[in-house]
Amino acid sequence: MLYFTISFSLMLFTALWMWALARKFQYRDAAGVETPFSILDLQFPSSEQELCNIIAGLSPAARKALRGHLWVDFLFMAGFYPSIAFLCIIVGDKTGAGQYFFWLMATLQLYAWMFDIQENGYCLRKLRKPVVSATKNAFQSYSFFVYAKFILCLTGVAVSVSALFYCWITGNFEMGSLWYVGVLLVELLIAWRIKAAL
Amino acid sequence: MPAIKKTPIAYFTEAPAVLEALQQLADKYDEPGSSHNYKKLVISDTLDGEGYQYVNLVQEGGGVLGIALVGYTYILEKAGIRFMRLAGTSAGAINTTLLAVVKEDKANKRTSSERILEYLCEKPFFDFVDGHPFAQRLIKWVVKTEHFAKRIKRCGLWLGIILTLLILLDITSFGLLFHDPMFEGVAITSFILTGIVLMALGFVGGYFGYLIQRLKNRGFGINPGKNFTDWIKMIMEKNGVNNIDDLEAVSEKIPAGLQLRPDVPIDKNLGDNPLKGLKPDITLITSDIITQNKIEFPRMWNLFRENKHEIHPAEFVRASMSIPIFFESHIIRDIPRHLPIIQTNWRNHLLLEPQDIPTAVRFVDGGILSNFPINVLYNPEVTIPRLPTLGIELDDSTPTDNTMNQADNLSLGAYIGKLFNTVRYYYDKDFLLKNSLFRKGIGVIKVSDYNWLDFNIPEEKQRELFVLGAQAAAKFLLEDFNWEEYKTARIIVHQQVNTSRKDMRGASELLTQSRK
Repeated sequence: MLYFTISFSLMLFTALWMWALARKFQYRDAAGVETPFSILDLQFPSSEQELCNIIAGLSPAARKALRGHLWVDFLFMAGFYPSIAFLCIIVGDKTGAGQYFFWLMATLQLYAWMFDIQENGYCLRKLRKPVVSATKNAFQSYSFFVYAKFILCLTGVAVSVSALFYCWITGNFEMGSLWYVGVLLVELLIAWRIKAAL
Repeated sequence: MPAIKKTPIAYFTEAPAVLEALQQLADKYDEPGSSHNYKKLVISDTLDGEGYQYVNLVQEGGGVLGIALVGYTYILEKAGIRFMRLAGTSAGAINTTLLAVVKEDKANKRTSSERILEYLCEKPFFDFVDGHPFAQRLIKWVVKTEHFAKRIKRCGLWLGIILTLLILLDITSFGLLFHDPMFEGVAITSFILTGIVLMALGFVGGYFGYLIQRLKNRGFGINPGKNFTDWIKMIMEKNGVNNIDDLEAVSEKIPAGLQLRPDVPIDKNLGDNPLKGLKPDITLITSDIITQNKIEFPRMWNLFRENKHEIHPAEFVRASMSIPIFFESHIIRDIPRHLPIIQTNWRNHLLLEPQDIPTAVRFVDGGILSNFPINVLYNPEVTIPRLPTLGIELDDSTPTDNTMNQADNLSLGAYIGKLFNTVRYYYDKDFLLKNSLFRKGIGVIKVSDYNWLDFNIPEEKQRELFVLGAQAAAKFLLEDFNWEEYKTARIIVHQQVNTSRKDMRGASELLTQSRK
């Protein structure tokens, strides 16, 4: 539970950092209009050309913010995927034979992490050189990494949170863990206040 | 890189029904000599040096149903008809532009329509659907699926049932596990499954939310329409049209040897020049939702730019075909509204004062205001028509519209649809109600079995549409249209409406002959 709290804190802190950077995301489109975009636009572009257009249209400030966002994202990953994996392991310990399933889910988070690293690497490469590749392979792999990452981590969250809820209502938890829950809630509250203040 | 497909145009032009239509025309209109000369066909008094007859032509918009327009114009051209003034909206604007730009290949005996068909045969229409891959898949799915709304409702119902059953299982197994530990496994599995379903729903909802936000950021259009603009630009440039000057040069070029048929009564109001005012041009209709006006391109280009080279004519076509939501609206920004010439143009074209000129305009499909712009070709000055104004209408109304007799019982969707259609069709309908004569020149292509947004339309269906267009044109020429009747009716209408300061001598002679 301690490891989970540490990784969750790291995730929360870096998520706030990335949120602050993402407020500067704007690019100049083909018609010369400043258009806001989100990191999701980079993750789910309609084509490689669109991805390149966004990156090519970045102002120096937005480019710097995006580069910073991508580097901070590596730290975020170090908090996010271990958080889900720890949650799976914690919950799995309380489910008897079900623990093997949860260990599998925890292991899959490593793959999701790896995919996310690949995805970020691709974006950083595009940031250096926003040109459409001669072959579609790289972009297709990138799209695969994005979708696979989301599916794995969201499935991990879905199964662990619902099992956690089950443990809660059946009273299958240790009272000592409530301290950690309290810490997490306070962290969430602080993060929310900081976000509102920014 | 846009895909290239290669279907020979013979797949369309040599379809048995098309050949049969041409044969029927030849049987009726051929004079002795070479076959398929159609020399007995009289559809206009305006001819060029090679004996082709000239008509004005209006083409209705209708998405991919526009292939039928090409079938129609193919037959007209094969029958020796060429076009003087052209007008169209959306798909009609595309074919209008192409007919003006893609000229006949006399060396290889290929009409404009055949050359247009070549371009269409090389282009998979789904390339024009260039939005997000998810939206592309959704569009394919929606268009292909019959009774899509019903299926979505059914899916929602099943999802609701599954979720309800899972929640019931959660509650039941949770209650029972305190009495029998066997239910512990059932309960946790049920909880996890419920969690997965809820997470999936949340993910789908979040993804839709993201797509809607994206739609908002991109001018409320699913597809940027860039592939279309590139395609039409490519065709224009291949045919020597790089700017408005070039477009005007090709579309306003007076045919060599233009003349009226000998012995036809001449409109005395034309003075010494019976060809006065006979000049080709094109008009593409679009709707500007910022100033809320119907815009006619290329005539009104000078509302938005000071110099012709600052705007590419491909933009006019793009503006006309911006089907709302399906395509991003086309925006022209940075209008130099401070310039006196621009202010004068706005005043002349749209009666807008300088303070009302916007900095940018936003075009959506001309079809929302005038999908069949026959009124732009109406010339009230002419007392004796020298050529007819023909129109091609795409009729996609279902023969058994079950809402026709349900005024008291319309669904919300049907109510909103009818409201929208009443407004959007009335502009053109009003003109035709007041000038019912123009109905005589309109050929109707029945296309109710096809979806106008099916950009993934298979080749067989494209051919069916082409054939429908060709058959409608043949029927129009064989059965529906009579130039002498049209001309007489036009003169009578003109006399009734406007005789005060006109010299009607020629018209009276013609009417006397007609009565005899």
